[in-house]
Amino acid sequence: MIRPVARVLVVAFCWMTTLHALVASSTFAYLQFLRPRVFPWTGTFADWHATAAWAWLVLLCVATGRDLTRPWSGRLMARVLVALATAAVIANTVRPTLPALANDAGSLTVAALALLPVVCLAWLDIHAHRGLVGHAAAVMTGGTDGADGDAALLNASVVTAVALAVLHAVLALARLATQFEPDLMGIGLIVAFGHSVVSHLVVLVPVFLVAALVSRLAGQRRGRSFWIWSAVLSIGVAVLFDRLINNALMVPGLWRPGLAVLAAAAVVGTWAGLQLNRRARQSLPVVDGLSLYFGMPVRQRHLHRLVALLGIAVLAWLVQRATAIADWDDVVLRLGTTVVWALVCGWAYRTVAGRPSRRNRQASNGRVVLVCVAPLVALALTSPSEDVRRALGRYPVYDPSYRVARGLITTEAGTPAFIRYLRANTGLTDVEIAPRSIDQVSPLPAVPDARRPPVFLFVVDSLRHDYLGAYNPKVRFTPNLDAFATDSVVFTNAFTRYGGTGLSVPAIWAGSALPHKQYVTPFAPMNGLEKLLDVNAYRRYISLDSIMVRLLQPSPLLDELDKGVTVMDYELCNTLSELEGRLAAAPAGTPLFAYSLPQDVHMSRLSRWTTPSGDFAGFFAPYAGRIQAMDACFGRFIATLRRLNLYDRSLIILTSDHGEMLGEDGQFGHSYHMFPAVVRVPLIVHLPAAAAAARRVDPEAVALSTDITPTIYAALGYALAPQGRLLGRPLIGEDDGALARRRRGRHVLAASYGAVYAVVSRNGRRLYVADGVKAEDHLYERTASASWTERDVPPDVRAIEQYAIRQHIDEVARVFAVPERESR
Amino acid sequence: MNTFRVPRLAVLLGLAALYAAAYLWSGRARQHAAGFDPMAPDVRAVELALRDGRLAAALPLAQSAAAAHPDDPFPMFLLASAHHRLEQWTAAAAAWERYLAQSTSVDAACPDIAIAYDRAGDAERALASYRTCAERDPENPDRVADLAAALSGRGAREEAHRLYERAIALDPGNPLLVAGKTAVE
Repeated sequence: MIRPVARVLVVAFCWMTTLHALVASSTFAYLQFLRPRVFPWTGTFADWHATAAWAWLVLLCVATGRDLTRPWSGRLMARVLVALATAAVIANTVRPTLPALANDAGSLTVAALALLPVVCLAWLDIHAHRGLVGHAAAVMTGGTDGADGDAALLNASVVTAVALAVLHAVLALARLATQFEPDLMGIGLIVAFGHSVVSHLVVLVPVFLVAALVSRLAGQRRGRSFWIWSAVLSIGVAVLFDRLINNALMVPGLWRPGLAVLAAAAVVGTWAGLQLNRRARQSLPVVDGLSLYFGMPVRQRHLHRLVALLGIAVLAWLVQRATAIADWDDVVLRLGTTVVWALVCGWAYRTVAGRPSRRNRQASNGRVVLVCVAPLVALALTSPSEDVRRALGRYPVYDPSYRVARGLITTEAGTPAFIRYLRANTGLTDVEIAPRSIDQVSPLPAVPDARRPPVFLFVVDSLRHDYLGAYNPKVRFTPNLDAFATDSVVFTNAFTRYGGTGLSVPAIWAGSALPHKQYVTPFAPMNGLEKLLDVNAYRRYISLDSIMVRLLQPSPLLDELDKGVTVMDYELCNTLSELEGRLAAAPAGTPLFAYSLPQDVHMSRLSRWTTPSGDFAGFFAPYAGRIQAMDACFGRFIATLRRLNLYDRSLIILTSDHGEMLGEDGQFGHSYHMFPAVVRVPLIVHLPAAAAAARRVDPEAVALSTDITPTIYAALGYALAPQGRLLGRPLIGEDDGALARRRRGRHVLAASYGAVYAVVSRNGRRLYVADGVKAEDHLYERTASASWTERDVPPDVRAIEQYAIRQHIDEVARVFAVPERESR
Repeated sequence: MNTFRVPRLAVLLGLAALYAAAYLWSGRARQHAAGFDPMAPDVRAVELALRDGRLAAALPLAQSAAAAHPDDPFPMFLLASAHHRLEQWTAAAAAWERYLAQSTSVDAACPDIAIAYDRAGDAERALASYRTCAERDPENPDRVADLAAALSGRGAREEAHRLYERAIALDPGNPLLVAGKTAVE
């Protein structure tokens, strides 16, 4: 028993190392998650990896102990494996690998190397039990090959499809009970369920066809059957890994197939090895490859079958629950759902194929054709009405299995050129881009002392606009922010240029759209806000998070806020308390600037959120509770500014780097979504009294996060000449022409971490999203009630919106001298 | 009685082929539903020429792209844009008309079509174009305001005033509309 446990632990450690290295290889994940230790356990794992590797080595020796005494070939492999592992562990101790990983090819190398022991162990197991598998010519004594096996496979496929649809429909019903979904009441729900059954059948019937053909290919040869089935399953796992993991982490070039093949060999090999060990221990025969992987068809009692299915249902529920809030664009959910599919396949194969009924013994050609063609015909003939289409659009939100099935059915045969173009021009980590000087004003003189107001810029990470009373009259938990808003300009139509911190913050400081690269360094020539602070000798109090340390130059005028605090522990209350002390101690007459990126409502801090007391009906209470706490501290800060006679002459900006999904369509977080809830941001600007009196403002016009720095320039009295479409424009003091362009123009936004772009038009009432990760697009329109409704995308509208995106990307390439890339 | 039985392997292969064909067909059907590929090389060449300001080169490229894709409005949009930027107003207006005839949305052509007629000296058709734009996109305050401004410029202050009020009802916070309405009062 010790050996199998040791085997599992060894494999688990290898996989954790691989996944950590894979995440590190991705620029956005490295900079946004690993470096700031968003999830502290990832940092702990890296810190202790070198030590834990010794325990792993011991376990590896236990796991391979028997192999060391086997005949020469297995013994040699086991000894080589242990020797190499020992060398790797010593090297890892001398120079710990994981803490030093960065977003480069080195991480991918570590990810690949960490899988090699898993593959070697699998090979050892298969080699040790080659007698059980049989050589290629060994003849089987039973199994499901040939025409007699078709009926069992066909029945198993049909039962799998129906079981998946029913099981997930039950879970969907449980979730729908607490939701208001008018499209999924009565007939809408029934039609959606029917469509789910048909969709699952359309996916599972090809699985049957492949299984039937593969069984024939294997014939009566047990060894051949094992290897053919291993190859088929490996291809499936490799494709899955590529589409889910490689796509999400934007793994480049030849690393994609390389890692996918290694991962597939590791998964399928481990699966086979464990099964072979188990069968050898229990002296069970191996009939064919399919039975090795999915279990022998056996006759079971109904109760046993039901209990097994209930167990899978619980797993499916756990997967949905665990990924409800913490996931990355459904990657974990889809992975978990795929595991549920595999388990249901195995369950159906073992139970249905094991029944000695007449139907399982025979399947006429007519029956095979009928069962295979019927779902295809049903799908082709379905011409849904508008109501049904809405129901089919909403149902996948609650049924991830249907979502996966539908995704497989509707995948396009080829990737359109536009999607390739988006991917080629996104995440340009492998492209050298020299910084270009971004000058809001050139030359940039200092302004007189009297025109240097204190400037406070608070960018609250992931803060949604509709959780503030200034934007949503239903909000009752932000009284201090509301009072601040009545003294300020509330820009009701504000959007972030980038739907993620990684590019949003640099763009705010630059006051410009930027190349899609984290980061162009040195950043100083592009840092419009820092130039302003430098030339006017502002003393600056700044929380130096993992992004700001890359953006700012050393300066004797820079005082760090939140020093020694982990980035994810930045809290507005603590930062403001510290800032209040600094302001009170600041020499009179010194121009002051403060900046922070509080993490109070960032998703990664969910575990610290407690359901607060108070009335948060209609809101996501843990999130709203954190905002309520921030509101109190912000009120105290404003009171301090008043007490220090700073308030009236201060420029105070409260905004966020992006919004957040809080359960809309079952989604949480921001990932590389560009949904309305992610791209809309709050933007409240308190102008110094002198500037407020003289400046013209259009608070309902579209405002972009890149307009913040130009607005600070304008508040100091600088006149900014128009300089192309990439630079932001001041939100105060614009003439009629500029206002018209702002309201009527098309504004292109982008996700920070994926090839997803959006176009805002009609003064923020229309949002087109081109998702180059999932190869799909969406069109949203804001209704009079301020809610967003998704519309169909007419082809001519798609062409014009995508043209706007290409114009933007081409313009960025031209201005920043980015090498042109039509596809990648 | 002899009966002919189709081998099971042939049945399975036939079904597999059917599914493969259905998969490919659905992909093509989706691409067809999505419209033609605006990144087709001949169309992309026009875009790049316009982007780089090579207007003289862009025009013949746009003409041949529009001729090569007669059923798709986007090449016609590029042709109209090329004429417009070259200030060939009569040709631009004609191209915008053809674009509008093919397109479901007037967003890309309005108010440029009316501007092109105006610059070409055809005030009557310019006004008609403003009206067409406002009629085809009645919920868009910009289209209504454009028509109001055009009417105001032609002395039809009463209708302009009424249209400004309609535009303000659609976009209450727009200071430009309020200024326009004030100007005709």
